[in-house]
This record gives sequence, structure tokens and C-alpha cells, in this order.
Amino acid sequence: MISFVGFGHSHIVALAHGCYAMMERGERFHGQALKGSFYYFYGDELSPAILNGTLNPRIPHKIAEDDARFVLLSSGGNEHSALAIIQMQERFDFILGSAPELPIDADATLLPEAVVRETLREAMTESLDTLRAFRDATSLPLAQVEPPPPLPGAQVLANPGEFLHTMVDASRLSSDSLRYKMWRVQCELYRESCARLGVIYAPVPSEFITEAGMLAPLAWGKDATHANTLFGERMVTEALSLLSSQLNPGV
Amino acid sequence: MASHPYSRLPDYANWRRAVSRVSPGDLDPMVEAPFRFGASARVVTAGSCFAQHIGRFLRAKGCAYLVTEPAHAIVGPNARSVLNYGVYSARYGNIYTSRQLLQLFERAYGRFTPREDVWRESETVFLDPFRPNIQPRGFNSLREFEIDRARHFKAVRDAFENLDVFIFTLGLTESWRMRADGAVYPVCPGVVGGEFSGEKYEFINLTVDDVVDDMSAFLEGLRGVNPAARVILTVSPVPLVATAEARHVLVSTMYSKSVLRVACDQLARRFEGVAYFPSYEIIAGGFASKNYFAEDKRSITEEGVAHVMSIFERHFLEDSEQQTAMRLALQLLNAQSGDNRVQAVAKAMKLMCDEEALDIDPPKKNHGNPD
Repeated sequence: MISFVGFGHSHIVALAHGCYAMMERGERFHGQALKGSFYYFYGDELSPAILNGTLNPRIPHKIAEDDARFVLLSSGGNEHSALAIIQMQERFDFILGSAPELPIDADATLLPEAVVRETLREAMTESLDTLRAFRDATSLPLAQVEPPPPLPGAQVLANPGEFLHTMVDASRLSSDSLRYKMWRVQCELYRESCARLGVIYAPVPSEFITEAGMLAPLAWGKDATHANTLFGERMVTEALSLLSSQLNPGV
Repeated sequence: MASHPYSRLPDYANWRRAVSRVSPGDLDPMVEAPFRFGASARVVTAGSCFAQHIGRFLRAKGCAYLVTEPAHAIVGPNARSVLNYGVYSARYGNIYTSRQLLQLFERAYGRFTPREDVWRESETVFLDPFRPNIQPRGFNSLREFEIDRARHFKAVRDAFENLDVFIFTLGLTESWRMRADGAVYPVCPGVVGGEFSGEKYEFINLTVDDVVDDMSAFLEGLRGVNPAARVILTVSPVPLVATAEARHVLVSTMYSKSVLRVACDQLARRFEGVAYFPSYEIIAGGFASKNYFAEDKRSITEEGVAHVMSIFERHFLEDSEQQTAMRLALQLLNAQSGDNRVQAVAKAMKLMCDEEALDIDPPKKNHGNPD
């Protein structure tokens, strides 16, 4: 049996549902049954995830209680949306250095990528600090799961979620291209942090990303930013594959 | 008793009364500023590291600190600092020498285009040689660099054309310049970016005449675009971190500061509306009965900065009740500024995420599925 735990902010929910669905079906990974337990950081029990710069002691306790062999993390992930899903008075855009061919809004203020990167880095402070705190608190293998790419604008407008709907309208919604670029920068910051901390980084498989960089319809969740159970299943499997190759290089 | 020029000296002109008998921390070598400015006067600052203290002080005091190159509303406070937004009125970074200031002015107005105006560090890293530390990893493409530089130059022009008071802190005389066209760099090529070449670049150490000529050209240029501009010059008390001269760094420091101090004196005498503020004397003069240098004997302590700025406030800020009230109002306004809309979206997003997470519990069934 493969026993593991998952912790995270809102995107952990899709992973939890995906994992539980696989467990319901009795699916196995490399011939072993799955035993996953998932916990939400903002739940009363584990909030805040970081106390005085270190991991909330209840979290290592949970890991031990579940006899986990490794830990899946979905720390943060929506910062790119929070910053850019709608535009302020002054529309902005930027050139993504790794994909300069992506469309640019000709009427927007063009910010340097460094400005976007440092802005996201600040917005991700809690998320990145949480990764570091996990690394400091446990020697178990850790895998941070990449957040889903943004949903297409039409889907955001159609299904913004209860709280966001008052803020989203077609004129303020950022272009799909900008939101994709923001997501890419955020993912790059995760990659850098994970590489520095020795945390495995599980990227979103290509079948979940459309040519335009949006979350593929088969993975759309119930609102403007989240993915569904299928996405969760696939991401859990992706993370397990990466973790198992680290635990058992011969596998 | 004989009457002579020294017989009825005011207190400030007498060392015993102006220095020896002054309590520690009370030294005030400023006699009378040629002008004062009010809460509505738009102030721009530039210069070496010490100039940052002046900008911070003016903002904290509720002065109308003019920022013509502000950060976009999405940029948070830490990122603003990392990206050098608001450190000065525009994102020009530290300006250490008179030559650098003059060339910034000329470049912003298209009067000087250096032959080497970008350093290509890699396929995706382009640095501005004249502000190589302005943001982490520089610019990701030549296009991005050129767009940002054009915006920066416009911000520099806006600052010079709209300021009421320009405060410039002169820091160094040593510099590196391109032999071909005389372009000077804030940092020696090869240190932060670019590649050092003795054939391309040469060391210079400005003289009093050089500094006076540079600053005179700058002041004439500034008055050309903003005839009413008033200027406050000061010399940074921060010693050189290193010298490229073949001599002790302390000797080079003393040379640099002496040159700058003499140049300021000549400029303040020559130009109307140009004042000198003695921050160097307060900190580095050694007569304040306090050591205002930190352990590294280079950084200035907070107490030292506070002393300097209290003297600045006493002599340069208009102190009527009305002006004080206006500055207080501006202080409150500054404290409340910031874009709440970004925060509102982030909050809404968190609420939406919370909604998502209400649904995390597994179905009520045994998931043990043991082997």
C-alpha cells in the first residue's frame, strides 16, 4: 500500500477528489493500493500553516498519524489569477521572455517581465514560505503539484463563482494570453523554489493544456479558476510517478 | 577696543560658540538657506546612496515628493522596493557623479546617445549599462528594454520639467567611461554586467573644474526646461567603498569629498536659486560629538541621518501653521494610498478558494483499501 498525505490551498481539493475517486475504484499504482489523506490549510485545524516561521506542529503530527511515505503539496497556486484575472484602471501586459511570440495587448502598459515576476514572488510569499517550512520540517519526499492553467475568458465569465462574479465583466477581464503568461511566470517561480529546496515539481500534463495555454475543457472545475476531479486524478498520478522514480530509481 | 572684521562675529562664525560649546547632537552648521519650500512644492531627489535617506524623509514629512515613474497598481510594496520604484522620483538608480547626472539629462532629451547603450548578457538578459541593478535579471529582450527605457526617459523629462525643488547628493568623483564617446557608468563595466576591457573603457577621476562644468551644464539645461527650478546640493558623507587610484582608499575618499565640497561652494555662489546643505559636515566633520558611522565605518547610523534631516527640516521646510497642517494632511494621505482594488480581488479569490475547500472531505466510506 502506498500511504501519503496531501496538504494545500484550494487546488488540493481537486487532487483530493481525484485521489479518493481512484481509491473508490480500487486503482493501484505499481501494483500497490493507494491510501491518501488530504488536508486544507485554511481549515481550522491546520491554520495557519506557518507559525513563527516554522510549520504548524499539527501538520507533522498529521503526517506521522497517517504513516505517510511522502507528501503531496498544492501550496498556493491562484496568485496569478488574483493579480491579473481582471484589469485595474491601467491595463497591463508583458513580453514573456521564454515565449515572446505570444500576443501583446497593444493598448496596455507594457511592464517588464521582471516587474511581473517580482510582483508574483511577493504575492506568493506565503506559498513559497510554506514549501520551505515543509522542507525544514520533514525528510520525507515532497512533491509540489503545479496549479491548473487559467480557464478561457468565456468560461470565467460564464462561471465566475459566487464571490468573483461582481468583479468580473467582459471589459475588465484580462486576455487569455495575459493570464496564461502570468501562470507561466508563477510556475517558473515554483520550479525555481522547488529545485532550490529539493522538492519534486509535478507539472500539468500537456493533454490538460490547450494550444492557447488554457485549461482544457475536460478539466474545468466549478468556477473561474479551479480544475475538476479528472485533473486531480491525473495530477496525483503524475506526482506519484515522479516520487516513485525518486524513491525507487529502478522503477 | 579695536574694531575689526572678527570683533563682532555672530555665534555661527565663532568655533567656540558654534561648535565647542554645542551639546552633542545639536550641531547646526546651516546658517540661512537662500530659500524654503512649502508642502505643495514638488520635490525631486537624485544622487548617491545617501540621497535615498533624503527622499524617504521628505515623504515621511508629508512633502510633495514627485514620482514620475510610479509602479503599476499590481506591484506590491516589497516588489516595489526590489524593482527600485519610488526610491527616487524616477527609476534612474543611484547617480554618483556630476557627469552621470548631466548625461542622464542629455540622454533623456535625446542630446546624447551613447554608442554602447545596452549590455546583452545572454539571449534573455539585457542590462541597461546606466542602471544595471534597476531590476533583477534585467530585461528579457531588446524590445522590452527599449520600451521601458523610452518610458523611463519620459519620466525623467517629466520630473525635470515639473519639479519645484531638485535635491542632488554628490557622491563620487571616480568613474569609468567609454573611451569612444565619454559615456560614464554608475558601476565599472564587468562588475554587475558588461565585460571589462581596458581598450574600451578608462578610469577617470573628476577635478573641481570637471564637476563645476558638468553641474553648470546640467543647471543650464534644467533651467532651459524649467526656469523656476530651485536646487539644493549636498555631498554624501559615505566614504568610497573602493578606489581605482593607486593609493589608500581613505586618501581617495578625502580627495573626492573635497573636490565635491569645493565644487558645491562655487556652484552655490555662481547660480541663483542653488543652495548648499552641509550633510557632509554634520556626519563626517567629526565635530558633532557623536560618531555617526556604523561599525563598518562607512554606513551612516539612523541617529546620524535623523540629525541631518532635522537640520534640513529646520532650514528648508516652511514652518508656518498652514504649511505644517498641509504636510500633516499629506502624511495621512500617503499612509492611506495603495490600490485597494488589487487587494479586493485577492480577497475575493481567497473567499472563492475557501468555498472550494469546503468540499474536501472524502466520501463516508473506508478508503483503506489495504493490500
